[in-house]
Amino acid sequence: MSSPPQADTAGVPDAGAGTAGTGRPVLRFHQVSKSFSGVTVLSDVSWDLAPATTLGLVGENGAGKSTLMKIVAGIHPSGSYEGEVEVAGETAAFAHPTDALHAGIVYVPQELMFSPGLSLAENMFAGRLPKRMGIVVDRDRLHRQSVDALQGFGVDADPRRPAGESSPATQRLAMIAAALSETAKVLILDEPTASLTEPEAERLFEHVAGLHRRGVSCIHITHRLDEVEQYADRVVVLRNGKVAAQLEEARGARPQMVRAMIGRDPATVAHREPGERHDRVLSVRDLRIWERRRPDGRPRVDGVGFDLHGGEILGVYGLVGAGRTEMAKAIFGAWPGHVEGSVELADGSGTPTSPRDAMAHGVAMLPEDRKVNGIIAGQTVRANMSAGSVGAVSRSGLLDRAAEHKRNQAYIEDLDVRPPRLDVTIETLSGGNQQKVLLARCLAAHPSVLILDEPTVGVDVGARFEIFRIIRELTDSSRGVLLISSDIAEVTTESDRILVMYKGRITGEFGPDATRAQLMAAATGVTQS
Amino acid sequence: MDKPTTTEPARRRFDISRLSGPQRLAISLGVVFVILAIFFHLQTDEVFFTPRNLSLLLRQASIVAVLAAGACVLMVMREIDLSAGSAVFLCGVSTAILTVQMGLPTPVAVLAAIVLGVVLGTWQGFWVVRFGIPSFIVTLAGLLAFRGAGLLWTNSSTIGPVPTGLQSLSETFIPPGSSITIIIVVFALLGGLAMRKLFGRRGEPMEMRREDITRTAVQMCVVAVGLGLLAWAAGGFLGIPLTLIWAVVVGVVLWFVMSRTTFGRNAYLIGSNREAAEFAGINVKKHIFGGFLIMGVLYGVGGVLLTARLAAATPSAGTNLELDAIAAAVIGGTALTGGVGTIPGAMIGALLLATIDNGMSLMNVSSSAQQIVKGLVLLGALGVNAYLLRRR
Repeated sequence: MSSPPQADTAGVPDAGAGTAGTGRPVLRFHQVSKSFSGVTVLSDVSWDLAPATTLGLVGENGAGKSTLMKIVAGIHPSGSYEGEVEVAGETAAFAHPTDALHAGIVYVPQELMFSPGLSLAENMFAGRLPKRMGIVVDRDRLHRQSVDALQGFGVDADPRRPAGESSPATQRLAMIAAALSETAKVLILDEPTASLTEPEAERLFEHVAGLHRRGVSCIHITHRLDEVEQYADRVVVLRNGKVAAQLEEARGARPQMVRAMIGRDPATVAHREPGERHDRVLSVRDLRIWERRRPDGRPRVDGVGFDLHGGEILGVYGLVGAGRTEMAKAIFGAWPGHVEGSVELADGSGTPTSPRDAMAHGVAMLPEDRKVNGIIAGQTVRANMSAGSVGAVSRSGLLDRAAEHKRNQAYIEDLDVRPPRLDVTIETLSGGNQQKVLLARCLAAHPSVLILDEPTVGVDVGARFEIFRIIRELTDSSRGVLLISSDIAEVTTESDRILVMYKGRITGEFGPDATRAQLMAAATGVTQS
Repeated sequence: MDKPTTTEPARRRFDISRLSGPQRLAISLGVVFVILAIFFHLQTDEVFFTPRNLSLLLRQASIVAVLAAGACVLMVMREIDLSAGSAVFLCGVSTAILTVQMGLPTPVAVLAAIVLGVVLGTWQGFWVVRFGIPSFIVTLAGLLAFRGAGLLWTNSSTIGPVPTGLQSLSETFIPPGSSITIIIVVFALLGGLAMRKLFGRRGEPMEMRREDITRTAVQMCVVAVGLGLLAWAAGGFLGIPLTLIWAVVVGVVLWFVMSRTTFGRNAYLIGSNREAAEFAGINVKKHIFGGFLIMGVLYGVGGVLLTARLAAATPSAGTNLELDAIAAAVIGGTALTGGVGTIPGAMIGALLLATIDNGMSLMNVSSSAQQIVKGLVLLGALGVNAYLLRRR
């Protein structure tokens, strides 16, 4: 990594404009706890944010980072949590996000909401457009305001052009510029670099360093520990809703961060008995995947290659945004953007062009987003299970209802779907049972490659166990399984071999005896394993 | 209807909350029919409920029913067709021109109309599938363009009268004796099918069997009443109108397609969740294109029937027919949001609309006022649908 441009500001906060002395924290959490319907997501969180510094907030998915920030931003209103939040020494009781904004808290979410067809200026000031006589948008004033904001932030962009024409970096900087008023005290950036290239990310943090000179502090939430090391002064690590570590020096602290993120206890659950390796059923070489139809910008997946054999469960671990789902969808023919590289299936055919094509050549996929790509709500379990494979239980276009009933009933019994009925609509089933129906849908296509993308998300513990029992049984000589999961325990117990992805590349390959620390290190870009 | 359920264990009372959505819809449609029939009968000096008028009503309903069935197929896939009225008009014009001006025999003209309909369906399906243009827009264009083409072709004049051979396709009657025989055979067939289905389920638990038996009995009663009325009307006035046979044939074929073929199964899945259907490996585009082809055949059938019924192609023929077809489908339980709807439902919706038209015409209500009432009925039907089919 190149040396950061604002290295000299680290550790020596410039206690200039408007802050009343370096000692007094600009933001302070005191024993903050919160639970959602009985499940504790934050417990006794206490830490301070010093003025004019950047604090890295890290933790695994579900550690409580977003919840904590939503409390500061007023999205979870005062009263919905316990403990105290202080802004500049005063107790903050925000009932609404605008309260937080008035108090100087600027929250920039990971997914920016903006309308590509409206101008950049309109997007920047959406919801608070300057008006004439209360109804007509004052275009001149809007233009002046947005030019001021953009120039003040050193962004070279025409605010009158449609926002969709700007690069993701410009969009993000413009939104931050618009959100920062003179009274801003804390800027919260949630995964700000997810859609940025490396130089764009550097530019963003140069601007953040500039804000420090105005006395503004920054909380930087990210999975990328390299960024934290490079740009943050201090680090707070959350794990399971608790503060696992507070590090006064971010530089060189990556091993400590990783240890704090995952905890020290290496899990020991019964590993799957590694089966015999049989013939290769899938071979991927130099796979590169772009967001859009044309190969421009940074690829989401950048040169991935691996083999999958019959009888093998190959785990793919990585953090959100590492490119795993993109890779899976490309192998399944379901990625809408540009795909380069080679995929070779068991029958010798190449990269599938559609899910239909993929299934015809023996690839089935259990999608990550069950509601969008999985279940077909409003239709029966019978129809859901048969979707994509009615051809196997019909003759020249006519459904053989007896044959379909027999086959689907057999799956219901094999997979223990409850209630064991084909004529109920699928949304009446629990998440785990819906997943079993979708698994049956995959199996009905008799795949040689079964891709499971986060198969146990939203599935209760009992059903989770059963789903893996089924998957273990299914993995035989002619079939390989690609298991994508963000759950380290799941990946290590269920896989014969584990690939770890980070920023669209494979950064490590491990056996089932890999430790959590090894996997987490590879998944956060720590080289050496 | 949301009374708190009493805890006392079922003295098998009638409880509407135990019925499925389609069952409730059927009941509400039945109630509406009975109320309308009584109302119109009393308001029209007892003219409404005569064999002659019922026969007329059925002939009026047939064309809308044919197109409502097609609208249902497309709406189940979450597509819509606004062009039906104009497309039917254009096909009707071709039938009239081929027979009247070119002197071609009726079968050739019928075939040509259906081919033209399929061409129109292909055209619209192509734009929807190939370029992903919403069917609302594509068929809106068709609504304008097809009528324009028909008017251009005829110089906005009426082409007629068409030969009697063509007219007879719609306006002949099956003699009363044969009609009654047909009705008895159909009833026997339906009864036989129902019994076979019932006996096929002998293995199931007693409670479910009792439910099955009750349901079958109710269904057969409804069928008996419907066919009985038809027999009464046919026996009392000339016999079954041929146009009704066309509508029934279209209905049975499409009902079979939608409920017994892979095409129909996939159509419902596509309409409910297009992304997931695609992900499951269904060729979504092919099915939507197929839907437009089916609709195309129906343009041809509708065009022939319309021209035959009016004995000519008139410039305003088929105006607003697409809206009647969509309204009929919706009244019959088809959801604009896709994935829900049945062919028999859509056709019964058409019958309901025709009943309202017919009854109000008998009452000498002006056609403007009729439109107001139809509009309100559609709104009411949608409201009732939303209430009955809502997810609990």
